[in-house]
Amino acid sequence: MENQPYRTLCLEELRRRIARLEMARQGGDYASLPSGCPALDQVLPEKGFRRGTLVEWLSAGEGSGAGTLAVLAAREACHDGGVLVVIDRRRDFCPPAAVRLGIEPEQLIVVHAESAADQDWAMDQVLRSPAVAAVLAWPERIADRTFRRWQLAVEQGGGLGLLLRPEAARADPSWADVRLWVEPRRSVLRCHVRLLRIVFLRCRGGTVGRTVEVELDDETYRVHPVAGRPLPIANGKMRMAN
Amino acid sequence: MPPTANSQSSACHWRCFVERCGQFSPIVGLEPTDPQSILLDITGLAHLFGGEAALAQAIVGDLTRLGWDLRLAVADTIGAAWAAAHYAGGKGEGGGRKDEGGRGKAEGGRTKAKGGLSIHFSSLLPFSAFPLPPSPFLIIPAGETARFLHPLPIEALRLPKEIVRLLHELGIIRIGQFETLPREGFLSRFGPLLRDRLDQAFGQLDEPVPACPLPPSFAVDWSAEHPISRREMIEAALEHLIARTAALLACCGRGALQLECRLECLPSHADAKQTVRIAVGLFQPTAAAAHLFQLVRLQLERLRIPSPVSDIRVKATLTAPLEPRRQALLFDAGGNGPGPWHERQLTMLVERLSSRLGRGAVVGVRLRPEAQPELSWHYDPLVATRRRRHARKALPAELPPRPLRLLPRPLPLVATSIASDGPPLRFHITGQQHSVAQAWGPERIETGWWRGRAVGRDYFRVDTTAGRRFWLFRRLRDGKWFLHGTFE
Repeated sequence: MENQPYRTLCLEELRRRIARLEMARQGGDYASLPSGCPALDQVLPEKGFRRGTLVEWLSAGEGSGAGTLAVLAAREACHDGGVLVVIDRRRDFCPPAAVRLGIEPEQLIVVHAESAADQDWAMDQVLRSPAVAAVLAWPERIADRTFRRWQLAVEQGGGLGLLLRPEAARADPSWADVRLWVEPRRSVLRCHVRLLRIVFLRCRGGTVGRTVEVELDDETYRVHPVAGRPLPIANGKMRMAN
Repeated sequence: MPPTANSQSSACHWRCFVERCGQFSPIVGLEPTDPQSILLDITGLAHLFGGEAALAQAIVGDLTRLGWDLRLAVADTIGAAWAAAHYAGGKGEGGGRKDEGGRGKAEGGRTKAKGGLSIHFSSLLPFSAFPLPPSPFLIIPAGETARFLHPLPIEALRLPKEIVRLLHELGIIRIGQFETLPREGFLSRFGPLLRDRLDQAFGQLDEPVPACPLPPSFAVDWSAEHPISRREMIEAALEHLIARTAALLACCGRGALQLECRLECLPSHADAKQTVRIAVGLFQPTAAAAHLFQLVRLQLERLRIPSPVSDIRVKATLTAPLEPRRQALLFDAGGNGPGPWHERQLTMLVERLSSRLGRGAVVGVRLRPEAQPELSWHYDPLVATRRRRHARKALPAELPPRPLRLLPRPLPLVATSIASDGPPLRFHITGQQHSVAQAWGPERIETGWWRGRAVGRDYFRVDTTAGRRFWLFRRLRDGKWFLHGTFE
């Protein structure tokens, strides 16, 4: 028992060292930007998403709220200019919803890819372009090599790649810097407020397994942390990102 | 609807015909005398088409394909050609000789005088609205202008109505009667116009074709001595032709907005000659050969060339001035937005994407003040379009909440509700049952009756017990439920 404080200190020191190594490995010299969700920023190691990286949003099904959080992050990325490119293979993206979330119509480019191969190619091109501030896509399966290529492309382009993915992708390897699991909770709050639980499945330089509970206001599209809730560690475990 | 003589659309038609006639002669003009005509200077050109008759036949064939009737005449002078097109063959006094084309006239016979070719469109009426003479063109052999003109009415001289009326009162009906009248004593009383018209018709006074400037053609052709099948050779030929086209564009200060490459392939077995077409669209006009070739190659590498290529044609089908101009695509936040370098990068990206995925696959968004959700925006292709500033229609100050994913076609579903106008209690989507925890609505949308398909829907935002949010509606007509979107 008397070794417990020493053990905790060692673990903290190891975590810091690994985080430093991971941050040093990142290419490009890009600044971080707010995620659009202050509660997430508190937990993210750079207080936001780093430009030139991929962020994955996983959820168990449609209507989870992950897309709204991703568009809010895109809005922050487009704040200083640049465009948001939406790769919409299913042709069901609704631009008025994005505009309501704060994206200017002039900033929006939609790409309709017919096949998975076209989608992969378009993603690579768009992520590589320095004129693109953010990319939003719904890729279901990503080959490992393709994923790596996207990571290198976004490092080169300096934008933010936002990937909305199904639950099945949870077991797949990832080249994203941040991988988040979004779980809607049954809300007993007031109208138009959604309760979302966000779990860090992967976070370069940060702690894996952390959980954030937020309220998403459908009227104002602001995200607040749930009042009085601590930020627990999922399953009582704490892991570093690989 | 046939355009009227004074309408703007009529002017557009004439302009279109003038441009089309540019393929037959470098000098094409409009004769303003009513009814309007198109004039072509074909001096020294007829032999290129196989003679005057073949040239006339080619013009008639080409223009009648557009759906319009025409009469055409070839003569030594503009005046004679105009008179023949309008008054020979019975339209006027009926005294004109019907000199049908042909007669084995040598092609070089018009070298000493200007060869005028007058085309008269019969009031721009569609087919069958005007009875055509047996042959729609007439060729007056060189040197026989006077003999042809003498029996024609004096109206054929392109004279104002007042002079014609005055001459009629004096008993002068036909052009030939002027021959017997004293030139200085009599003709000078009607002013210089009558004398000039007579001299122009008989070739004693030069009359230039009032040429309209034709748009330059940015096309380059190449025929292979031996058909080529190796892809590298085809690419090399294309690169060379695109460079030449780009040079033509740059000379005129224009850039391509759309470039078309046509590869004519040899007929294989039973198949006819095949053409492989590559069309690339651009976001901004460009005359950069390397960039254009890169876009073409992106498409070429996905195409199958069925047989060896014998001919290649590269043409800039849509062009615009090359002036550096700023497109309003990139958002400029208070003047601190991205600079020209970023814009150039974005332009190149859009063009690359459009070249491979298709023009309609890379689009910008324009919101519309439509109540029907699926019609509340419009996609505009970003390339190969002449920039039009769409007046930003008044949109509501605050857009209503809409789901991030909206199904293009609402999905019918089975739902249970207690009240006939209330929200559902539970519903099934693809075999999965969802129980509704909370619902907001209805948002009633009744619109579209003027489009012939009235839409009446009661929309509900529903949260399931699992916390997922959907957008459902009940069709007012029959009470059936549909899923229209998900609040991602």
